[in-house]
Amino acid sequence: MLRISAYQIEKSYSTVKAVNRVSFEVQSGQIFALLGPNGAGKSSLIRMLVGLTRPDAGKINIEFKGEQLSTLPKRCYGYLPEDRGLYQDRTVRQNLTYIGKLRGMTASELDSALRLWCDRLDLSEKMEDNLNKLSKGNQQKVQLISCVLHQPDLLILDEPFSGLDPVNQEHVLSILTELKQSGTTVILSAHQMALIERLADQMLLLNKGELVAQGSLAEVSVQLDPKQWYEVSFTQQISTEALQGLTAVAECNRLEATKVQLTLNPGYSVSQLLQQLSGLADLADFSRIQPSLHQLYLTAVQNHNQQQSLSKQARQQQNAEGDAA
Amino acid sequence: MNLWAIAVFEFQRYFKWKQEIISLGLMLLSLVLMSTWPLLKTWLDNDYKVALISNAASPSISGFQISQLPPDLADTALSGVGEVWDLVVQVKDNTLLITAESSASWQDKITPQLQDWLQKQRIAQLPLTAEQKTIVNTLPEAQLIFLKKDSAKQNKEQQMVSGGLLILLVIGVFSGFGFMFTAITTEKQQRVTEQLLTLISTREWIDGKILGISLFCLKSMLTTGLFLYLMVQAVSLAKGKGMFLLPITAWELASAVLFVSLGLLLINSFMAGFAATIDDPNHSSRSLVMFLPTVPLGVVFSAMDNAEGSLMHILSLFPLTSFAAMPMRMASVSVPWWEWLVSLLLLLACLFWLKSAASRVFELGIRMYGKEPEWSLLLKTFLFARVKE
Repeated sequence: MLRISAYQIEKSYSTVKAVNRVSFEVQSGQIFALLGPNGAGKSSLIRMLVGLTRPDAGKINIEFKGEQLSTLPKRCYGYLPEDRGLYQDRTVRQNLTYIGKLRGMTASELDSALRLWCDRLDLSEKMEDNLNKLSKGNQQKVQLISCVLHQPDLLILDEPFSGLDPVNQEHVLSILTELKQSGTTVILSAHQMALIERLADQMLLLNKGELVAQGSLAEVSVQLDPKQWYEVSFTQQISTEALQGLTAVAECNRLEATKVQLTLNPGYSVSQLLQQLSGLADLADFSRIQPSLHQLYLTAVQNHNQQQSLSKQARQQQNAEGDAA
Repeated sequence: MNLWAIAVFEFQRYFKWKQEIISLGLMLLSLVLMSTWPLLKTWLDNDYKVALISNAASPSISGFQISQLPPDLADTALSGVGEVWDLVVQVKDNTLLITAESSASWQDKITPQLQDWLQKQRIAQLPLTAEQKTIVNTLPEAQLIFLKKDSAKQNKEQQMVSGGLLILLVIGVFSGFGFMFTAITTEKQQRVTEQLLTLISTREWIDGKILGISLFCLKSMLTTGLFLYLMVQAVSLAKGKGMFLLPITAWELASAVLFVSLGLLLINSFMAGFAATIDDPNHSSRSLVMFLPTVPLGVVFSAMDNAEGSLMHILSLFPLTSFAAMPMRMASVSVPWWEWLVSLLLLLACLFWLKSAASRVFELGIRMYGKEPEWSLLLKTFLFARVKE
């Protein structure tokens, strides 16, 4: 059993606040995704989790096999850094053997793990090649093997899909899904929203070091887009004015002559909306629009940036007024 | 366990069989060339043609073909200088007149031998008995007597051993400098550090790295030392001087290996610590600090001509120089056992302290990307204690 709880974590580099009062919890067997644009604080958060840096404030608690710990035990996790960290002038075998030995694996354990993973990721024929001779994607696969060789309880992967082509992205996705099924906990950061949507149980969206949303995909959708959109098709054309005249409708966009998108006015239920819509004409189709994570992510980052610039402007105005007074 | 795995990995990063075999081949080639050089030179060199205008028996001088001519052919011989003769030698009023077309270094070789030949001619003409002539022609024998047993073993071979040891130390120190500098700065730039520090502690990493690279430096010194010894041996045999035996005992050799090994660990500890503080090796002022370990070698080099002097005494006890000074002193004079022991203990204590200090600096610098620690922070960390991040 593994549980990681982070409370009000803060980290600054010189004048930049990389992580600002972020809290989250990762449960055993979950795939937990850290999302956010470049500079959002994902890698800073990961570096604190693996103990490469320490938080300036806040606390990280780890519960591992019934023990309360302040840092992750080195042998219990595998870490894939954002900047790939293996020896370029050594072969795939030398790199992986070295990492395996440092993780305390015996020669026979190492041998069977190397065979298993290199076969699986199509690297068996490249074992004696120096790392700098491999493509970026293959280097990425070697790096991934170095994390999973010792069958860790926890995987911490910073941008595991970067540099991989779509086929290999799917390959890694299926490996991560399998690892999850076998009980491995995975914490990862990524930009590939379509993959995260399929993979993550829980996610944490960060922007400029601050928490924007967190939870499951459904929870994050509600947090980021409280206005729920519906798509309606009528058997005949209905004017936009007639639709906007309905009290249950808040906003309305026309898609086609007989097809519209609309949002529900707060205080009204979906059945009330359906009742009002049926009063105008017969309905051919009615469905709720589920925005993609990609869409939600872009909207959330945009909104957060706007909020931040507004509050900055307000602060500047307050200061100016104070100075004038 | 990890220490040894890291040390072996670091050693193998620089030990490449192909490179070793090529180096060995080149060494053997040089060895063959060195040992056959005297024969080759004699074979390739042309003898200089010398006309000796004298009635006395001409000398035999290696590298010169001397032809004796009667005095009436002196003018003919002089007119042929540069074409027929390289040198024309005349004897006038007990003076050698040597005529050549122009000045050349080979003339310095024949001049003293002709002087010696003329001197013997003059002695032969003196009204002396055969016994008196022998006395005049032979230099008196000199015997050196030392009251203190083995107090001054200084001779050509021992100076050669000291010089050779210094060359080997320079090879060891510069190898360590090169490997530490490139290995650590590259690991930092390629972020290998991030991966490794999640597996092992900084202390384990620096210890393994120092051990691995020091072993490689020692290997380089031993292979070069063996080559130098074989080269000297080959030259000695080619010159017909027989086998060259090292003028040091097995104990002195073992002591030298011990002191040098500890010295390499000492120097590489320092270098590992400071290399970790360098962010960009092309633009860092820290790079100069890495040259500091060459200072002890320079100091010992300046004092090595007087192995019994006070300076060499101090240097062989001072822990930052003893790894170089003690083996050199031992190669020249007998060192009291207690001085040897004190020197070793001081060196071990210094190694222990410096390794801890270097580990602290390594820990401070290795996780710092894009910037370097301030000098004041660096000094504080090096001298006193671990500084919080």
